[in-house]
Amino acid sequence: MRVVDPLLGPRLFPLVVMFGLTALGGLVAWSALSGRAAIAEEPRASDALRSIGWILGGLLAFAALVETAGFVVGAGVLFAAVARGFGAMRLGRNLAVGLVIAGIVFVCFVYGLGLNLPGPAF
Amino acid sequence: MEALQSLAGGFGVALNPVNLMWSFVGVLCGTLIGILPGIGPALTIALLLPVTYKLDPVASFVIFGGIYYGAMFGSSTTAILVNTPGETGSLVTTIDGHRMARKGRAPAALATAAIGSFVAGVIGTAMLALVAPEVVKLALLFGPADYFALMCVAFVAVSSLLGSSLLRGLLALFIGLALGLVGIDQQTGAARFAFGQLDLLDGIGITVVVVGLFAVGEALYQATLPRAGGSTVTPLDGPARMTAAEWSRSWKPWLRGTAIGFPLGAVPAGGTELPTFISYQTEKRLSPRPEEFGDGAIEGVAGPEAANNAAVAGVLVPLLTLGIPTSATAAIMLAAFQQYGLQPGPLLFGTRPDLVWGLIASLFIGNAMLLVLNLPLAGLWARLLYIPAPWLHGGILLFAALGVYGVNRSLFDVGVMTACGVLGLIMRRLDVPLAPVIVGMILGPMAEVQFRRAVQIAQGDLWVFVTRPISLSLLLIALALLIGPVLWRRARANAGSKA
Repeated sequence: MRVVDPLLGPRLFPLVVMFGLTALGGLVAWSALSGRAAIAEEPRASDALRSIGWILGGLLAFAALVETAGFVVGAGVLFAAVARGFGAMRLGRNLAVGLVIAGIVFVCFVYGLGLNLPGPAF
Repeated sequence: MEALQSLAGGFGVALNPVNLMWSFVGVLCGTLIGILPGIGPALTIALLLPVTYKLDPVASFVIFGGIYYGAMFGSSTTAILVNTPGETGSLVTTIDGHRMARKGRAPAALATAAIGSFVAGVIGTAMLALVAPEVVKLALLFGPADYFALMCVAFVAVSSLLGSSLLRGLLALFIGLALGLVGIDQQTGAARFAFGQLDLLDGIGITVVVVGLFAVGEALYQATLPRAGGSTVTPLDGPARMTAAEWSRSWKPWLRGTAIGFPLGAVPAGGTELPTFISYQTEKRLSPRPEEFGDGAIEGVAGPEAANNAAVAGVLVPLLTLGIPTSATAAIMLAAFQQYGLQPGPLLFGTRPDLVWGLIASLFIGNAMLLVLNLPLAGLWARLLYIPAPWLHGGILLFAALGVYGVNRSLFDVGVMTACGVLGLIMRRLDVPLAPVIVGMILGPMAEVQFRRAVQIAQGDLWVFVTRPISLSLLLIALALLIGPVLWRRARANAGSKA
């Protein structure tokens, strides 16, 4: 059996990082509970959670669509959802703008730069 | 003299028409993303990595250097006209720059920012050219133990100086270190933090993390803030220019800003923000009219805008000569070097002088291009500020998805990007800095290699780190940076309670 010095092995750094993270997590928790880590509470929009939902939903939709419907559709839907999350309420118009931008980007990158993207299956 | 000769060779590379074109592309992109809030130089370079992979390394770094400088030029436009910084390096500029714009002096504020950036960029790049060969000579004396100690200094400096508290900075650093460990250990082949997932064995791509934290995280964060109603862009028509009186009030702050920015960028003090704050305070203290500060003092724009550009030149010193990144953007540039199988450091000056000096020379040319782009065309750039926020963020995330998915066509990467986005949102809300994550992720594996090498050479003797004078002094500096600020704060608190 080959003996590897534990200092040179692959375990040392993960252990250090693990203990470091645990200790720092504990310190942060302690400083928060003891009221030392006072951070200014930033103002929050009333519809913050809904906005986050739109953006994360858009990314999820991109992941679901990009390999079935193609990059242009996936990215167009992503654009529309993110814009909706930032308060552009007209989904139809968002989608139209998104599809146009995604189409231009697709043409530039696939034909201009030779990037391999899933084709636009309309 | 040696530096001048090398620089002449560099100009030979940089003045090649193809490289001139790439330099122009870089500064154009840089100005654009500098003006647009929500997209910064680190994110842009990360997104461009897969596209530039096919280019010659010289061309890539000419583009990246142009982006880094261009972002500092462009961000002042947003700071002055909209009162939000395009990049964090222009946060201070909003104070007096936007007041000037409200009083109808936007052209002067833009002019002093652009010319100050140019002056600082040229002087800073010249200092980079002069200092770099000297640092290289010193770096050639470094052994693995010394490199490890130097990386410890960088870790501590980045954690303690970039954020609001040391604890949060270290937390961010360790998150980065953990992310950097994921995958197969290069020396033993052991899988670490891979949880049996095939996708994780190759490690997590730096592009995926940067895009997740800086694009998705930023979008999620912005979406949680209350939306400002209506456009608040101060209109601007015509070029940026200033009067003779404004010139005479500006030139000293430019030079002082450069003198503050370059060294602070060059020592691993991290990034472009800190120098701008120090420059602003300095100008306020030296001014015969300190009461004007906060109400449109031109010195409060001239100094910090010079400081952030000089800091960019400074950041390039440890990056090129030692291979140590001290900002998120520098860490991405290091990843770009690694992508080409190049290791920045003293040896790179010997093996690829065309690359190093070509990059430095192109930074001079890029600064001149930026001056031309930003003075007469300021009005044109200002129009970018009218892009509605929903479309801007939609577009940024569209490019993020393209950049992350397009490289490997991996849905797993899209998932990691989204997860990093949620992490980024939490970190932003809790005031944890993001840059240490990136620096830790890139520098962590390098530090591990140097550590193992040092221990191996010393045949398992850990004392090697304290018996070598270079290594010992660097570790002491790291320790001082770690506990110094804490002791200083405690001492001040004590003095305050006695008074």
